[in-house]
Amino acid sequence: MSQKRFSLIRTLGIIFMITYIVFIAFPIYWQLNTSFKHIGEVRKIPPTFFPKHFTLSPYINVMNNPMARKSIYDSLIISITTTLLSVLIGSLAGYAFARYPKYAGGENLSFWMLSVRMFPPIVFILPFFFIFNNLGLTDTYFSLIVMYFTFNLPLSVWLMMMFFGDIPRELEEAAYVDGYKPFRAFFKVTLPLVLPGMVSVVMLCWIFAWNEFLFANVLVGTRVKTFPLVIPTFASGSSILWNQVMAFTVIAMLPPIILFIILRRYMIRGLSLGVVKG
Amino acid sequence: MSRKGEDILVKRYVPFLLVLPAFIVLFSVTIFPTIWSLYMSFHQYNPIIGKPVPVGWKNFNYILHWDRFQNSVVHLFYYLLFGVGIEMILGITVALLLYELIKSEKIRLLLLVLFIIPMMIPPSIVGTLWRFLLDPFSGVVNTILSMLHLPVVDWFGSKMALASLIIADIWEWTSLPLMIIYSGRVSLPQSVYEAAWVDGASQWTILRRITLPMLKELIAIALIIRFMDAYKFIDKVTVMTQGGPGGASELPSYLAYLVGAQQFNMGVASAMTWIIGLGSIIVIMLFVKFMKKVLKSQKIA
Amino acid sequence: MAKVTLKNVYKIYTPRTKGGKEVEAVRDLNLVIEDGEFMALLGPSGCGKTSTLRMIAGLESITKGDIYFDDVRVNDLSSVERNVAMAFETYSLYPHMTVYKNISFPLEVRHKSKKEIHKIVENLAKKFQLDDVLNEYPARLSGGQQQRVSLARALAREPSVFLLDEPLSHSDAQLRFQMRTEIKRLHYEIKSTMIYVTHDQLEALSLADRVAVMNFAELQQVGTRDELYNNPYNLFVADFIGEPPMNLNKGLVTQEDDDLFLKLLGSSITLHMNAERTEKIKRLDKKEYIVGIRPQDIIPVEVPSGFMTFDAEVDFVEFIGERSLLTIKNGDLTLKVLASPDFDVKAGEVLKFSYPPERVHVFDIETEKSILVL
Ligand SMILES: Nc1ncnc2c1ncn2[C@@H]1O[C@H](COP(=O)(O)OP(=O)(O)OP(=O)(O)O)[C@@H](O)[C@H]1O
Ligand SMILES: [Mg+2]
Repeated sequence: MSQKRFSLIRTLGIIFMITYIVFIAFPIYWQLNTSFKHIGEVRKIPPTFFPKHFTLSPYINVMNNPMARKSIYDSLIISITTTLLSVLIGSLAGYAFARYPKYAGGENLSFWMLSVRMFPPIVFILPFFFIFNNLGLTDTYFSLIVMYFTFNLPLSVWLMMMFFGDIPRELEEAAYVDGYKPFRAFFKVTLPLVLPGMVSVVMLCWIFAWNEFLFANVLVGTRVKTFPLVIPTFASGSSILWNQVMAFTVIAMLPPIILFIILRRYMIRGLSLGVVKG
Repeated sequence: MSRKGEDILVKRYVPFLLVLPAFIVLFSVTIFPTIWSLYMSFHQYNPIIGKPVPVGWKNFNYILHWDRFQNSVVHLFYYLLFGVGIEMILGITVALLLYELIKSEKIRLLLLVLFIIPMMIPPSIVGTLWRFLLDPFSGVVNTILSMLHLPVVDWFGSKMALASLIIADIWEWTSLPLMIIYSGRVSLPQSVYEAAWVDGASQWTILRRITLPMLKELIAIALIIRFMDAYKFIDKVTVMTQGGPGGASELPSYLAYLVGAQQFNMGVASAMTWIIGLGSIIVIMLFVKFMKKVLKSQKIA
Repeated sequence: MAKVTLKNVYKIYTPRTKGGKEVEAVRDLNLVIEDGEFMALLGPSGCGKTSTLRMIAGLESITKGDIYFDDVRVNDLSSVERNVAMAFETYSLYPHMTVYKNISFPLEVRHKSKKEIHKIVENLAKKFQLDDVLNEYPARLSGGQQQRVSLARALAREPSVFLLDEPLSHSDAQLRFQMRTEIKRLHYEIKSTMIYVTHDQLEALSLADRVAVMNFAELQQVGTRDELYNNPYNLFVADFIGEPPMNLNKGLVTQEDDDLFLKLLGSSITLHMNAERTEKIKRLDKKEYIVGIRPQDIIPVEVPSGFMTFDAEVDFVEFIGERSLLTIKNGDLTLKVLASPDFDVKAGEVLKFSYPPERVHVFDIETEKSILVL
């Protein structure tokens, strides 16, 4: 209704919004812009705001780089394994917490589990660095999988608890009444309903493992290399091949973004640790 | 529970069994590091040189008087004040503006996706990207500054290094409070606003007396989540500045990482992680408190 | 206080989903609410009462037409500028404020002094039996209590017009009676313009100076209690107003000498038309009409008087409240008759009934309008 008097505030608001959009979008634009340039053009000072000679060669070079390919492979193995483990074990516990909070150990136990995720990773890194070193497990898939599993599990438990909690238990009870055994009732009624939430937990766990840098930097790096470790190596001599770096980051950020667009309702819930109802 | 006959509730141990695997994993994985680092905190130990030697409180004493650590705490304070502070204010403002100014669902979604992108990019890559953007000689930011006839900035010099880290962090994480507040705003009932208009409240009063109070738990949670992440802030430091120049952008976690994983001074590093851990426990407890509030209010509503 | 005028007001909701249909919630509404008048908007669910109220409140855009407060066109003014107070159908309480704060909020916004606010809130809380819950949050109140808070919040102010949307729908009968008295007294004290939405005719008729009856987005009739009751403009109003509802039947025109009668279909009852009706029926020149006669207006008579009476058999007797309701039969036709409870009658008896001819309502079958307004 009559908002004419607020038009000044409105205008300021719109200007503010546009500024923020530019602030967020420009680096992404620059990343794309750079990834389509030849290295000569990248090094030009001042830089060009649009590729003069549009090229896909940075992407091709990155894809043909054996180390980059290996790192993607390693990243996939590690992130997929941890994700499956975390979601499986997390769903069991989440279900128990949601349906039988008292018998499952109660609110304190579930909050304790979540708090493991919230501890600064640095607290865990040094001890594990020490053990894995002594056991000869550094630079293996195992070391990273254990760490990522530990960090993802609390989130998985917590979110699955929330998603199961959203489904009224009456639905399952109706299925018992209709003659299903509890186990069948779970698969027939509850699982299909919780599936989108579960998929989003899969994605969040996967993104964490996919993006993680610190543990990887400390625990692996020679035989096993996840892709965040590879990025600084796109260099010729002492100068960085920014076009390849940017091309590689574009490739690496696409999967999480696409997943977010598809599953945003549930992802927002997950990113806010379950606070926001989608 | 009052149901009779065949009932999975009869078997009380089933829920416990379901929780057990998660519990065992988390307990065993956390208990060892806790004991180990507590033990090491009171020892001097470098795995390359020799065995742990007990030193009492010396490590703690050393850390608390170590100027590099003190500086890193000051940096953390700056980071919380300016980084997290700006992220919160910016996030809340943009979230509410997004809701008020843009009525088309499609455009809102488009913008949300755009705002989310920085959070989806691996943090180390965010660091890499901003190092590229802020490069003092060939970076596009300085290019734009000089095109506008503004003085160029030495982004990774001792004066600006911490600020550059903070800028990159704001870019990456403002979307988190933004998203939480936006989702909260969307779920506030329209009818309450109608009542406020009829009651004669001005836009400013509505913001101050209706919107912000109704969102206050969510704002607290968003703030706490960002606070917690502050202790994890290592990736970007490693990629962008390595704490430099001359320690100008060191943060406590990064310092502990340097001392432990690079200089192998496990005693001092462990003591430092304990100090950091205790700091974060306070934040975690705050989080739990507000989380319970939010969960309760969601169940009522 | 202000006089509220609605001129050719339309409300059309645009479809919410693609392929959805437009909803015409209010059609060509003309209504004048005088300064200080208590107007009730009465009608069945979904007839556009709330939509009308929300347009007056400035919460809903006006699709077509104009609304005036006194002589000022308010279409483009905000709620604040119109200075309206409203009790919402869905309460719309502030969930994060106590009952006290909820009621005082509109006063605080207007910078009233703390003392003054306190006095008003205490007073209203007493009137609406909210003293005990002043420090509770809305989520902990019962539906009826929440509704009373919403009502108290609206009545705390001195606006140009009060808009109350079914403010008592969640109260029990006794409470409703008390609240009605309070609202009426308040209206009497401050002589405010009030628009009161309800689908309870008793509430409307007992509270309001005039009642506007709506159906299917259209205004059917505006009038005082007596006007609506005695001279319903159309079949809908005739049927909607009055408890128990009016007897409505088809009637065939018959003529004996100069006198016109309407013979009720399926029976031998012929109702005599007075001069005014006779003239109208002659002018309209149709064979069939709808005839209505209220159960209150059919009177069992002991002494046969011949003219303007008919015979009917008592089918059964029910007691409703302080009256007894007879169902009487003549041929295939049944009629309801309201009698005093000490009227001693048994099922199966055949009685004579009389009726005042000026209280027989005749409606055109096609337009459903009363012949008196045609
Ligand atoms: N926001 C809206 N969008 C679309 N259609 C609406 C909207 N609000 C109301 N309607 C429709 O307009 C018509 C009138 O609604 P309104 O709420 O005015 O009825 P009402 O007389 O107040 O009914 P009740 O007595 O049930 O409260 C209804 O058919 C309803 O479905
Ligand atoms: Mg209504």
